[in-house]
Amino acid sequence: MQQPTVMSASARSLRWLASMRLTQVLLGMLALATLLSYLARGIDPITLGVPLALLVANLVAAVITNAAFRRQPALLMFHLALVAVVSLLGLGQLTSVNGRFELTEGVAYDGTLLGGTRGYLSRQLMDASFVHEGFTIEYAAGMRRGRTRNPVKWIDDRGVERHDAIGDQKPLSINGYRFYTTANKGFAPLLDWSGEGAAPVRGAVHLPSYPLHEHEQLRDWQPAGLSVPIRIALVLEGPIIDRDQASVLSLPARHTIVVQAGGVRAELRPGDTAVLPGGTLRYVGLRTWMGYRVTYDMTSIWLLAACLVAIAALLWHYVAKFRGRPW
Amino acid sequence: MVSSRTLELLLVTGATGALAVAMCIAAVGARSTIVLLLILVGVALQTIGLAARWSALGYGPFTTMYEVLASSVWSLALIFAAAYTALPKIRPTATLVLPFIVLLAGWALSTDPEPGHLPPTFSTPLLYVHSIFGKLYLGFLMLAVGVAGVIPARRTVLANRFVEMPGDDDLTELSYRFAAFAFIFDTVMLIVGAVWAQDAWGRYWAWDPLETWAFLSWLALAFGLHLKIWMRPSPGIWTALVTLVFVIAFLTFFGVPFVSDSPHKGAF
Repeated sequence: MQQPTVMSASARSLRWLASMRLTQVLLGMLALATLLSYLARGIDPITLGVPLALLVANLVAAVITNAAFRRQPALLMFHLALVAVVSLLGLGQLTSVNGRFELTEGVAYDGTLLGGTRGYLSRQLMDASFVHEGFTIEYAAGMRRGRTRNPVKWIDDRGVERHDAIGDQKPLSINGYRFYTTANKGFAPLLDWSGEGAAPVRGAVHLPSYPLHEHEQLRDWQPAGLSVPIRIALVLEGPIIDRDQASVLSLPARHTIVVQAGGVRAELRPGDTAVLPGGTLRYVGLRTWMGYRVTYDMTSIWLLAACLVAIAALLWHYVAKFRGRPW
Repeated sequence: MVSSRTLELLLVTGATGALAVAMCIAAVGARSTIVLLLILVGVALQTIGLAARWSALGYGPFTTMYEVLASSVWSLALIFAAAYTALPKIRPTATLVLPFIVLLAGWALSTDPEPGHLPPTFSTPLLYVHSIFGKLYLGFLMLAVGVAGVIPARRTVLANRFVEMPGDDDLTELSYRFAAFAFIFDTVMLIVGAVWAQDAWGRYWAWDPLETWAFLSWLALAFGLHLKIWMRPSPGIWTALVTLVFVIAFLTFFGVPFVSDSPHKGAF
């Protein structure tokens, strides 16, 4: 005899969960969470995730209980597409990779990230590698950055070497990873260090981003086994980018590097060697480095598809509704 | 010899003048065909002015505040002219809508018309699609507010301007329909923007100031449309709601670029 009461209570709960009043409250909560997160200088996925999850529950309950959805298939399709969008956004948060790294010209990318975010369920090892082969970046008068062209090469799935030029809105796509050039780039002296009694090492010292830190082109380098760092400074013979007219940023034709360690100072051109306390330094030559952003999100294409379905369904719904009752 | 810059400013100023005259004629309730003709003259002059600038600079009006305002005046005037022609019953709304467009045009003329810089990430067809749907969104929202605005305006000294217009419930329904299509255009604008952002900056959404306010504006409109279906609010409450959404959208389009370093993080 008690079963009808239990059923009635669950039906009442479902109806409450499906109510439009709750929808309005949750939409307000989502707006408030967005605004507060924005004012707090950072959108937190959990703060937004709670009202979004409740909205999905509200919507699913409404689809089950509200006859309006059965009468209006386009409206139903639109709201189901919204559920798909929110679900895919959640899945994307769990599985996506969004990282950054710097890569020296001529060096194969090894999957190491300097920073970024990874979802809890994301692939931990990045099975994508490529080599960057230098860049040219156009600048308009006033140092305003223009087109970036970054030639790259990689080995495809069939073992064939492939070449392309990426930059701006053209990323490199390998195994679902998308690599984007950024405004962060500069020069990297390539150095061979032969320490006393140690195996020779080669290193590329990424100098500060150029032209952002045009006048601070120096950095310390401390090869393993050396007790004091070597200070490396790049000296350009004339500006690369003309502030008053259009220019192209690429490797400078003429330059030297100044190295300092333990009171010894030397000016080196490519191929030169300096004897420093603890070993010998050979300047191989100047390379470029590029800062990349890498993203991996297996949900993005499905997200776009769900958005397109939502738009088509919404248009269908409103056109049918308004045609049925002309103003 | 008049430079192309001077010619452009003369044309844009002329367009503002034509729209201002249309506003004055609409305010005194004169013939609607003259108002329409003047709006079309304003749109034509603005079109030529913007085209001259586009031709001289090599890129469209997408970068500076002047360009965004001037192109918005063009699109809003064009959308209003289309509605004015297609729906003769709403012509008296010119009394409310044209002052807004003229103010926007005046604001455009008061800003610095110096050329900006088209970032490399703007060299994509998605920029045009994103901008067109953004302008349709704002235009349809403006029509929704213009029509709904008649409801409170009827209770003021302007009442005699609107005596021939349909009743409040009919105006609310029409305003709701404009708002519904504005919602569609807004959604398309956001989706196209996300696709563009994915290619340009490696992320489809980053909660930068403009994206955050665009989302708030979308939520506010969704809230209003839901409320209209569920609560069937009075015409007065609907007017307040749709006006609030318009204010948020207006701040998103023309306010956020003033308070943030750039319209989009990483755009420049």
